Amino acid sequence: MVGTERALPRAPSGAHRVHLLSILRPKLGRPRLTTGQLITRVVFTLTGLAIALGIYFGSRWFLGLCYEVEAIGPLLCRRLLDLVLLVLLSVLLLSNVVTALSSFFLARDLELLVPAPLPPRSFFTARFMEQLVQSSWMVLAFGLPTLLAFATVAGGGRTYVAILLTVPPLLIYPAAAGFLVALLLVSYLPAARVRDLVVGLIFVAFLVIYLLIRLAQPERLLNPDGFASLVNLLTSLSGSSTILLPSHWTTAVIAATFRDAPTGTSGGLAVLMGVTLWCGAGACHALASGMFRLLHGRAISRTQEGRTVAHLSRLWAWIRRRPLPRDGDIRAPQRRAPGADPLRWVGYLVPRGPIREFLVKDLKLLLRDASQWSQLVLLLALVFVYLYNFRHFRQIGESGLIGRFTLFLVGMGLSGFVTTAVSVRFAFPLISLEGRMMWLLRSAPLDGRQVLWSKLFATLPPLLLVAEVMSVASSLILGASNGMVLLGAAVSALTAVSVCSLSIGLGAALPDYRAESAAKVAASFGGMVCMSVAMLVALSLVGLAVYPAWVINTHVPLRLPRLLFCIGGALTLSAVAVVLPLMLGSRTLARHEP
Amino acid sequence: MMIDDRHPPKRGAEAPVLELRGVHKRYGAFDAVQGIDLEVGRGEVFGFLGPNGAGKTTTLRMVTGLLRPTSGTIRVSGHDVVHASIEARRRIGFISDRPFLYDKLTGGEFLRFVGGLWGMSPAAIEAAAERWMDRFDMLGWIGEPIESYSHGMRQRVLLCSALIHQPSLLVMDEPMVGLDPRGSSRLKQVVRELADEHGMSVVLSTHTLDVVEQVCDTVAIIHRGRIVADGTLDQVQSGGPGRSGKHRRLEQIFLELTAGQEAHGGD
Repeated sequence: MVGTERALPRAPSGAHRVHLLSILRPKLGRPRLTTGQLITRVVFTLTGLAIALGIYFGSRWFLGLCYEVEAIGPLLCRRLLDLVLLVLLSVLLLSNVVTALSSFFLARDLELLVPAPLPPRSFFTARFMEQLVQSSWMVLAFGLPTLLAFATVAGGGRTYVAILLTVPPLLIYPAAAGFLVALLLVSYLPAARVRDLVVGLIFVAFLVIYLLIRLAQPERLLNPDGFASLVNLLTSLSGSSTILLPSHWTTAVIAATFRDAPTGTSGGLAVLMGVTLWCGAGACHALASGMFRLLHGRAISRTQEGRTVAHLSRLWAWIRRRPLPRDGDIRAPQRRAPGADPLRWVGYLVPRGPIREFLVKDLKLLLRDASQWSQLVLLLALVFVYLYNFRHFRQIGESGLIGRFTLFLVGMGLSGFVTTAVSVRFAFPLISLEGRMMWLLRSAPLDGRQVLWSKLFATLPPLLLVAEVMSVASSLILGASNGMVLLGAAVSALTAVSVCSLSIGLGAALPDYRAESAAKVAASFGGMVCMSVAMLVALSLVGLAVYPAWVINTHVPLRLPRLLFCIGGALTLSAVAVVLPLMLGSRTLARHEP
Repeated sequence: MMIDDRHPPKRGAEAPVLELRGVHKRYGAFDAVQGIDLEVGRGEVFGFLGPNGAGKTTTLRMVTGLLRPTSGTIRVSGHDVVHASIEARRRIGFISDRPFLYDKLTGGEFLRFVGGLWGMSPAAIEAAAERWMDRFDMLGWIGEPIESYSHGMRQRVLLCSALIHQPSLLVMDEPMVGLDPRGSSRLKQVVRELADEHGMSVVLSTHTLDVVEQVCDTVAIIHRGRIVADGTLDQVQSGGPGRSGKHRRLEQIFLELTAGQEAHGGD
């Protein structure tokens, strides 16, 4: 029918609201939970509540000490509030960038929603709300107790109201900024790579913040001699440079309600700051919405074009003098010469076979996934911080408060706990992560045992290294005798072997093939079961080391039956912890029907 | 290249490469496959047809050892896929209908991994990987990460991975999905060559009846878990073995035999 056009149905009034709900409905629906998931949620909620309460009471105690400082107490609290809000804002910004990338550019339902005749405003509002909630709830859950502690210590009823009025608009700034940063990034770089990069940067940022806080030694606040330098630090951190930030305006409003409000926090100024905060939030939202209408279509298009060569890629290709593939050209014009394989050393260490293949493959996947290696960096930093803090134990031992023997056992227990946590985080998810590739592993000429052994061989050496470094270093820091150091090393080795095998075996016996990330697998019901069993094994091994350690430490006459019981018990326990889970996992794997 | 659309089956005195006897698969109260008997000879291309939810994928996944039959036996070159599964799997190349690959590996690295699982030497892997990637126009992409591949390119890498260890039985579940006409034509050529020149047996399931007519020697139509027609293409099209009925189009026969089918949401 040339010249005529079929009349499109008109959108009914209130379509905007209808569409908004339609987009959000799948997210709001209550999924059916299995018993395991329900238990996991309850345990996690209770743990979260306990942590939030811990933060509240810890902050209240610390702020109470600060507030009592003569003359500068209220000013110190205001500075601290400014600092806390600035940190919250920074964390929220990073969190929002990642969430914006996921919800606006990488979400699976975009293929359904983008071609749908949705008003752009509805689409943006729905996604923006989703992003805001997803990226803020956890930060808020642990940040809000600190703010409430400020209200309890320095303020009163009005402070709670001020917090209630200023926190919602404060959340909009990082959400809008996060969206704009994400929009800008995906205009020039592939969205998936950007997300990996940002996740990596977040971990590095957390690491730097944590190390800075640890190295600043905030516990020095308890020592009056350390005050001058700390006040200087706080002043420099929340000085005039942050006056243009919404965290500063929020501080101004909340601090104005403090009992002993410092000078310069008049009610009029607070109201002005509050109005600025709300207006600014509205402006940010409007700016983000406008930019969405302007650029989102183009950006979405870029994310769909897997091989599209963006501007930076063109520059990179030019630098490498490599011809660019054209869209629709299936044959790349020039084959890239294979570079030296950085993992070829594995070939010298492990004989040819499935174990080597898995080892090489798993190492490559680990090194190429920013969300994985960044956590590895974080882990190494935690080990460093653990050892850095362990020297305080030596001081405690020297003071005679707790005996060196007890400290040695505490050190072994802590080392076992860290080894277990690392094992559950990195080894337990390995089988679950193969979920989508199970069609290949099950159709290959391998049996389940080979798959499990290959995973064990891939994870045991680094875990053993971490456990031994922690054990030997902490024993040396404590000034333990050579015999104690050797005993600690032996217990750590048995712990590493046992918990690693437990993690691999139970990872296959209680898998979560639907989980999208290793972190989610580790946090699943199976992960919790594994953590509990592995902790029990680790503590039992420490328990069996008590008698030999006592003999070495006190030089009392050795009773051979007791020693044999301890050694035999430890070896039997380790053997059972290695063999039983692997058998269980292998059997489950053989029955699994992908 | 035009492909000859009539290929006589090569069954003789030789033992079949694939043999199914009374194979049954039950999911809870639902019988997905009910007593299937099949034979595929050396160098034979076997087409497995059926509507959605008829039991095609279930049968093929049982052949590859991914699913265990509730009852019945499946043998690949004489090796039971349940009791001698490693030996049976060593002889199979499988192309899944859900082509998930390791996104962070390159095409070459993925093929090296697969070849290693099948116990090939590095030199043999390199040679076979180059040969097959070149055959499917993917050699230029061998060093690129799989996450940058399109759906069709992933399907080609999957084909290379199934062929790299020179299986005696190639099982393909919907192999044409995602391939462009050139890729599809290349695959049909390769399948015929593998069967005619290398004696490889091929079992493929597809909804594209033209592919069956062009490539397959024998065909079976599965409906509600049961084989409702099987034999050479000529036999099926003429109404059964020994009949000299009117030669009809496969589509017409398929629609008649599977009339009243209600999809169960899977194969």
